[in-house]
Amino acid sequence: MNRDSNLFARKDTLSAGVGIRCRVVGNRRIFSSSGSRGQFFSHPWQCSLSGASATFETGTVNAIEPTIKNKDGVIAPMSGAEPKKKGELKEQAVMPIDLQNFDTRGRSWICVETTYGKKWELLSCALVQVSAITTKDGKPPEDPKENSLALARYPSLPGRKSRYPINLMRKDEVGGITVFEIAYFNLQTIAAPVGGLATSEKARIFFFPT
Amino acid sequence: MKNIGTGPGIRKRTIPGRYILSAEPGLNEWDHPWKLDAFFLDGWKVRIKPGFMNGREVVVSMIAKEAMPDVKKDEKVVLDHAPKITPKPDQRVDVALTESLVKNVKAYLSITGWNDSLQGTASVAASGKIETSAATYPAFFKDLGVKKPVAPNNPLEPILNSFTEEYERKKGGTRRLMSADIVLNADHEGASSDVFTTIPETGSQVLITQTVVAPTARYPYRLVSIRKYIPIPEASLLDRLKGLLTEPNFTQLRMSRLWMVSPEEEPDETFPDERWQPYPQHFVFWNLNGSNKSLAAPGDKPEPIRIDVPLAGGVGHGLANALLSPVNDGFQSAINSLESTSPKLHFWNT
Repeated sequence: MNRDSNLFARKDTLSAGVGIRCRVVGNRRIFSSSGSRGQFFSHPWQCSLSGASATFETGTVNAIEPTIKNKDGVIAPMSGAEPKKKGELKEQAVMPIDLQNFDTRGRSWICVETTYGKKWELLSCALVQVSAITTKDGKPPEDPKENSLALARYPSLPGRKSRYPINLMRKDEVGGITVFEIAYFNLQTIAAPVGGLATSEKARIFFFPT
Repeated sequence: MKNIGTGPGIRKRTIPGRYILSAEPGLNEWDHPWKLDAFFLDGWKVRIKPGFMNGREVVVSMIAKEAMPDVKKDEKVVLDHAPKITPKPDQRVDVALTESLVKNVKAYLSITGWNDSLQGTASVAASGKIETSAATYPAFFKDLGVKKPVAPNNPLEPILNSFTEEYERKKGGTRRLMSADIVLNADHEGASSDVFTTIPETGSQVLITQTVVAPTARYPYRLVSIRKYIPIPEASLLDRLKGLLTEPNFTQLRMSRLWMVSPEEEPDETFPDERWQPYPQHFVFWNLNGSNKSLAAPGDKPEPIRIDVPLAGGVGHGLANALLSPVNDGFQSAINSLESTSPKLHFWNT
């Protein structure tokens, strides 16, 4: 606890310190913690759920902004498409959450799906919702243990792709969704193709915070 | 001044002559991954704010009847990491930290052993020597009235001296201090190497045979409570060259330490109970990624052997380096080979 937030109240001398809010109600004074000391941590990839849709604070991978496909199938950068008319404001991209795309244990991941080029350089990235990180289609494998035991070294997926989880959504006992954040920073990705050959179709993919 | 009300987040303490209003801890703190919340329930336990390793959940090992206390006798319960069986009440099960959201499932870690933080420790170094170290603790606890640490080798001193020392220690305070460490165990392949050196007539030759030890079949990322974290000695290149050291098939990372401060005048034989006060100390505040050293950092590459003294007016310079290049290649191959025997994970945050 911050010592500055302490408030010493002596006889007839009351004042509110940092983090303390004083409210006078009739002849009573109510002291509350303001809860607004600027300690709310806003960071890249931060997810806000609203019903069955999600918006995110903009994050980047190798300085490339991922795209989001909205419920109408329109693909736009996660911070929003450029407005068509001059003077209009950007509208933040909204990602629909597929409530069926959770595994049997009520888990679903929002991942940044990266696509690499001929020399394993990053070409593009997109935010996707999957119920398994390391399967080609993002669906859980037949044996759930396989999903659990996959050591997440982020192996490349067919088509020179990979997925990196940025948060986990988990359904609680009444169907509400809790989001656990995994990534807090913009990312850098490096691909290490097997054998060191760019022609190799398999690689170990690494993600680092910037 | 009697009519001072307190709203949420405010604690009022009355002492003669004045009131002290303080902000409750917690409201303004960042709720980071791996954050501990200690509580007493038939022994000290910790709830841990879910953190992730390589984007995966982390589990704790619990006794089934503690993980699922409200489950009725014939009710079928499935867990993330044991989806096909209903565990018996006394069976150990792996429970993911995020699984506490699931109906009838609780996820917490029981503290199973305590280290007396006032006593020194002894450990075995990689060289095989036994090393002793005096106990130390953060100065914060001295202000709370914790006793001074016991001086090293105290048990060997005469009893009379001990009495004197006990008197001196109590001048610092009369509370005891114990601790337990929470570590992340990450399973992976282990490795060992056998080295054969032969000296055929044409020169010496070194053969390195690597053996990979399979990882355990259990879920790889788990938090465990141990008395005191002592780093596993790391194999040096020389150790690997000798083929002496087998590297374990797991890597440990210290996540946090739970300190416990006793009431005043606590006898030396007791262990922390509900009268003791917990103080968590965190060492990791972010989710983690980890990998072994297949991706070597640029700084780890040895510089090739070169001759930069001009020879024969510069003509011999290139010739000498050309002759040295097979040596450099061999040197690099040896380094690569030895480094690849280390499966130890290196961690970074997300």
